[in-house]
Amino acid sequence: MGSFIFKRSFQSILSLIFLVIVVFFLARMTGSPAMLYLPPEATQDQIDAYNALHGFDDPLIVQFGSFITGVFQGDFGNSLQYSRPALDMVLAAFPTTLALAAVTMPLVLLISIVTGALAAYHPGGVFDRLASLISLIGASMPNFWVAIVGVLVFAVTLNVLPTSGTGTWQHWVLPVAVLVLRPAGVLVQVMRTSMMTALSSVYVKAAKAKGVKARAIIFVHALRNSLLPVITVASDQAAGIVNGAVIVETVFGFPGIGKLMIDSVLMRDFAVIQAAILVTALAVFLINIIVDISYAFVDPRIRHS
Amino acid sequence: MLLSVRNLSIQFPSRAGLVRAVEDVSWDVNAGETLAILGESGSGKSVSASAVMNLIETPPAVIPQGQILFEGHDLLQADAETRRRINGKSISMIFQDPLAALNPVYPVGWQIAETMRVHGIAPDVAQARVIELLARVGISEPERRMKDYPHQFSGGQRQRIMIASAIALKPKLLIADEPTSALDVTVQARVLDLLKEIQAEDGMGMVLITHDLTVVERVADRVVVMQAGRIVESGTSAEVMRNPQHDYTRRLLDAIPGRAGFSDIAAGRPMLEVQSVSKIYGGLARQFARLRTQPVRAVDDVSFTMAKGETLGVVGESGSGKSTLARMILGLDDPTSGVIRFDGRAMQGQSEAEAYKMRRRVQFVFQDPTASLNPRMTVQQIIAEPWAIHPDVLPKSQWRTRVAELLEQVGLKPDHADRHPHQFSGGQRQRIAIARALALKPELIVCDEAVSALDVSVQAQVIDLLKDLRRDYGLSYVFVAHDLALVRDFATSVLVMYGGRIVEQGPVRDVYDNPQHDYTKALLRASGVIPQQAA
Amino acid sequence: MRHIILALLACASPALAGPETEVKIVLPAGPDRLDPCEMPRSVIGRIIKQNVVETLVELNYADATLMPRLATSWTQDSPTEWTFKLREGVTFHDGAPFDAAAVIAAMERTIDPALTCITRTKFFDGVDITATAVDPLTVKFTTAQPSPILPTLLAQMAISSPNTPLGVYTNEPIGTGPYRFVEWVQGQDVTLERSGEYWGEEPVITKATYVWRSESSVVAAMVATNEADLAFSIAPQDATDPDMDKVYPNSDSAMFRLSVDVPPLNDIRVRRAINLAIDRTAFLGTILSEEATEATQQVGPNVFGWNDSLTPWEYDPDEAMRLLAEAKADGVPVDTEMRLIGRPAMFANSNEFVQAVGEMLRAVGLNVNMETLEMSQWLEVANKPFDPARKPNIFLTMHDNNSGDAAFTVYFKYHSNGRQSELHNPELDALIEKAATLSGDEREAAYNEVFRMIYQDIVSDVPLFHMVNYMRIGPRIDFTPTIANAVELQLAKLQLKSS
Repeated sequence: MGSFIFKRSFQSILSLIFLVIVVFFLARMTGSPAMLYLPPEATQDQIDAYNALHGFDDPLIVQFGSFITGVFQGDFGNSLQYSRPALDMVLAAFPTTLALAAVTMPLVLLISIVTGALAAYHPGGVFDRLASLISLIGASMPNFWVAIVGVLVFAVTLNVLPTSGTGTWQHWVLPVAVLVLRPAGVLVQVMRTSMMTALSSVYVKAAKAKGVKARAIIFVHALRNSLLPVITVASDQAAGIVNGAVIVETVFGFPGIGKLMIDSVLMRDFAVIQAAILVTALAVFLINIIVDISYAFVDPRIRHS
Repeated sequence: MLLSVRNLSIQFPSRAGLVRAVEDVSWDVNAGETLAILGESGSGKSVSASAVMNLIETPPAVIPQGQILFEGHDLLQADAETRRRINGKSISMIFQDPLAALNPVYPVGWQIAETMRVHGIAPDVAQARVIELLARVGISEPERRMKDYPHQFSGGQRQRIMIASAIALKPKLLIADEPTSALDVTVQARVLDLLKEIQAEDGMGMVLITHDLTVVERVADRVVVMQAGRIVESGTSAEVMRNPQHDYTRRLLDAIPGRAGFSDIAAGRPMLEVQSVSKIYGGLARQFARLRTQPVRAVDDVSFTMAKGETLGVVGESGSGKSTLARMILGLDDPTSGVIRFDGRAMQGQSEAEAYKMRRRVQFVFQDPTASLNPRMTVQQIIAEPWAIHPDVLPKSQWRTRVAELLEQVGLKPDHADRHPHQFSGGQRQRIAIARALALKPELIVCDEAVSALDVSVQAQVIDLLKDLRRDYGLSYVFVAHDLALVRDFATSVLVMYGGRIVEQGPVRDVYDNPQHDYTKALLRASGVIPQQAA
Repeated sequence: MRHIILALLACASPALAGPETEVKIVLPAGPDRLDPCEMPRSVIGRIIKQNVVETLVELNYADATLMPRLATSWTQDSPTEWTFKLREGVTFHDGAPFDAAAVIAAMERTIDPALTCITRTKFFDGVDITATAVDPLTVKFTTAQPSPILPTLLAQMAISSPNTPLGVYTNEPIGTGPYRFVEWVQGQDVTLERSGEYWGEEPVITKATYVWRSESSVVAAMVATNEADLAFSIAPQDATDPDMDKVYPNSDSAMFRLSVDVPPLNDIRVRRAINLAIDRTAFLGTILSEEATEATQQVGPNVFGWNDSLTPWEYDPDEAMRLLAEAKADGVPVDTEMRLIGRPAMFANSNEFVQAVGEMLRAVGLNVNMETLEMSQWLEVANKPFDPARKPNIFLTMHDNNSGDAAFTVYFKYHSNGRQSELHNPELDALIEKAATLSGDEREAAYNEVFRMIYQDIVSDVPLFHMVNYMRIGPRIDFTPTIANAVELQLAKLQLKSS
């Protein structure tokens, strides 16, 4: 297990380095962001002065060189917009997004595993059809719309939840509810199919022949064998949230990394873009490693191979 | 009367209409006796037994009539909970493929104990009993091995584990659905012996479902023969085997291989020379990564010669290396050491052009026709594909006619050419595979378990076809199989492999009538190769 | 139902905006800096301008005159010299005294090229200015070139404490205003507190918390549920409550700039036709607020130099078509494809606006292709250098001049060297250069003429609207917004309703 983690970490770090380099060059190929930061009346001299100040008039290789030197000292450069160290800004924003993901995903898994498992037990039955309908609706509704409607219904009309912001646990209800919808919708379907396959297997038949009760058949025998595809898809969804639940962050005013990244891209704030991508990529790689470990945990055949 | 099935009918709705899986079937079994239900695939032999265990989902299945009387009570009238209590405790079932029937993610000890736990035995008591049971069924080091997972055992061991689970609560009746079909021949024998022992000890009744007549002969007291959902014959196994009344039973008995005469065919010049060939997997690369695994010698210093016109049977059990050898002869794998020569020319180290030409002369038929035929292609495309790869063999304008000819040769019809593989039965698909193998007019065909997945009667037909082709075209075969009876019918010379090595070789008559090596003897005994029948 | 839910969530209800004298204000976007030298940027000024930091003179947005603030009076000694008398008895929040030295320090900090402050780049760049202390309460400003509107420029310069570090940005503004900066929780909020030591009248509001949300419906909901007391700007479709929602001009003026060098837009008949083809009043009350006003110039009435005698274009599509036919007959290629360019979300419903204008232009036979350009692409079209092979542009722009003088607009928009000007008119150039040197009535007359020339003789633009914002004000607050709120909100002007 140790060597496995080491190997995967090594691969991830290589990918990470490659990613940072690619992003560095791609971002800067859009040209100098001076006009985004200077007033429209700015003279050419002012523009030149700005470019000189930030090194945008140097050849890309030179800029890359100073970036790399900075990285080795832990300095990812300063935000053009905020004049604060980019890495600080990213590390301040990331925990919020991470917290959103950390609350959302367990809920998603719980809902989808239980619902999908029960739906698969009587395929075509009432519960199954209802679950399919609701999950498809959940997977198809646009986040944006749900968020706003949620605010209008629960905050304005019913006045039982705050509109936005962070603070108390009530502030998290709507954002998490919005974030849960699509992943749960998708995963219910995945779980259901996977569970149906497991329930039609020979070992389930053999368990019935042993006199195992229905609930144990579902949750003890079939469940663990159905988890692998669910883990795969769930990791995808988790990576999506970690990359920035942008809509939720924007609508509800959560200062997370998604919004930070979008704003930085629009304002060509290179240092922040780079730092943000680095941090989120790291998180995604970590998720992948966790997924691989959980595969081994769930299926002993993978453990022993 | 321990269990009595009376006038049972079971139907399944399907797209093609109502399938009458089991039609007005009656059989019974007493304590201490073994009933065999004999039939081929599609006969319904498993269905009635599944109904006993409440494994048939109704809906969608329908049981329009019948009773299943267990100790006098009709199970079909009982509620679900009653039936659940019976399963595993009073009536147990073991299944054909123990790898599929054991849950891969739980340790075997846990699974055996589960049978006891669900029927109210305390976990620690169950735990102790597990160790007893594992020892009873012949698994060594039971305390250690009960924590292992199914994939860490061999096929035979897994079936023993299933048996342990099934007998944990000393059931009155054991239903065994094809318990040995997935196992090697020698292992089969031992598992059947174990079942008989347990039956003798506990006075258990046993229902054995099988397609293999040798199994019936070996262990059954009584037998019912099923065809297309109905029982066509029943009686004691001695009676039925010696004096079959029904046509179908007679046909089944006739189709049993290993009762025909030996094949003697004049052999020509050497076609295939195998010199000191070994195939080692793992070795250095593996050792670097894991530092623990030994390299696997799949084929170990094998040498033999095969002449033109010969049919070389290669027999062995799983792990003997016979399939690996077949792959190397086909050029799909390179030997780690040693040389294989085809028609005097070494196979490794050929240029691409030479290898390309050689491939035309050596063709193949694999075991599973479902896997070896591309489901998206039509039969026409499948059989014509070799000509697409070797365009100078046959001009495109003649493909259609030639495919039609080949189809007829293998016993199919020309208008089958436009269908897809899934529209055919297993036997027919194998014929299609053979037609494909013939397309390039090869000199040598390598058959790797080509008929093992087929029903007995179908097997016989396909072997006949191969024999005809051998006669008409002077084909040579390398026929890899685990079924010695089959090989006896068809081969002219035999190689017996064990653990990657050849333990015995020679003309088929010599090997079968006068086996030298102990392993060969054990193999022949275990397969119950029936000696030539008098009249 | 509601009671059940409330019971379930009984432990905590949404937080109400603090005790009676505290307010919570919602901005459309959060600040990226709080440095006093960035005060002219509305996202920063709306928090700190005249609340935390003050200016020497204060602009009266209604009529573009100047009022005393930290300076009590000022005189122009010569074209290049101005003397300002400072207010007595003022101290900064950190205890430093407000005097001539402080003013000089603040100015030097602001124009230091080490910082890219907007006060410098927009107002003082190219102004070679030095300040000297005549006495502790008198400052003399000397400029290399004549500077007739120096006081107007100084209305944009924040006087920060002399202890503010030079050459680096600060995020803790220290000034002389009635409120002290308390803290800025990055990404969350900014808090100001009444300092209690103000030189002027103590304001009623004791504490203000600024938060920001970009989604208008959420912002509107926040005020509606009393989570906030005031929201600077909500979309017109969310402004449904006449008690709470008040309109104010936001000093933005929308206009299409025409590529006067590129055929067929180089023919004045075509340019006139475009102006006549657009039914401006049709937009008011439909996709734009009915409170927006039709524009005749790039600047609004709040700017010194605005010409009040110009009347908006009439909607006359027939005349437009006649002009186009006439031009066509003379060989002008009126069928040339023209780019009608907008930018996403330039203002509420701007995308729909551009679509509608496109249809109006097509209705008179013009060949226009609608395009939406993202910010940096839009900037490329807006600014020099212009692609000599470019297609004719009908280019949507928004300009906000809330600095009180036409000089801040006309040069870079209309002079041939102006960064966003496609014009090459020597007569106009001369007039623009001249006007900048004048003062008083002469200055006003000169700028009036500049705008008249542009509007009537040259027709280089399609003036559209002076835009408005909707401010939503909760029931606790008594306040009427004005154009000033485009760039500032003086907390001292907020009153609490006694209820």
